[in-house]
Amino acid sequence: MDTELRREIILDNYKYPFNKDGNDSFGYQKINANNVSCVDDIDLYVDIKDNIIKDIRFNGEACAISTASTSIMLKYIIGKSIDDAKRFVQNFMNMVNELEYDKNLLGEAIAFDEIYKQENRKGCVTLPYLNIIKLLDRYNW
Amino acid sequence: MDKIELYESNLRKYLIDKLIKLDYIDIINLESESGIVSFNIDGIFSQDVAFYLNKYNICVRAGNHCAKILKNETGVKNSIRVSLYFYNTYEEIDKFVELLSDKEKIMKEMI
Repeated sequence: MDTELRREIILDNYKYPFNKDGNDSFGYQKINANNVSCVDDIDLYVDIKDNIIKDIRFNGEACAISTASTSIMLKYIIGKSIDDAKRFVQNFMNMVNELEYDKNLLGEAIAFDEIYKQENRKGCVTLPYLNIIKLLDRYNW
Repeated sequence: MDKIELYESNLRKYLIDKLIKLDYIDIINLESESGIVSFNIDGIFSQDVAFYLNKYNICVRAGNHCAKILKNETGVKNSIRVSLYFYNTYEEIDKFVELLSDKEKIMKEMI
């Protein structure tokens, strides 16, 4: 991917994050995602009905990579079934961990295809994924 | 020791006089007596600023500095912290301020 396009996608999602208006008033399930080695601290508010992710909102303070990664993840897993969302997460994690992955399923998340070169940013980019999967794992495949 | 303290104090004043001219920078500890200068850049997370500066071999600390109750005193949860001492120079401060003088450049290079 072109470096400028990659940067544009990430910065656009940092400056104008998708659904970054989460709060308790939504009445959704809340998950906190924080990174012990930095101060990234994000709350995810998730609405799941009939095994479909109806909506997710988020809020909190985090770096550009974490914020953009969360924004992008939300765009692609809202509306998906639990199973499809898990596949999306697994595919993303495979990319970050240098395993085989399908780039055609990632959408804007492909902007992080070279993050594996920066070990210290892997924690940032995977923060929302590692935490949403904890919730999704409570549901059966 | 007095000379070191004076030099450190002068460095700090030199840095603050320059930073204060950048309207998107909020200095948190204007009044404190030490070589520490804490600040934030409007709209940019502190750790991203630190990451950007690191590319230019400038080491600052960012975040809550392992002082989670500090925000009760300052009202600010996270910040960038510059720690000046006698081995720092005015030239280094010039370079530092120059790097912070272009917000678009920070945004471009912080990721």
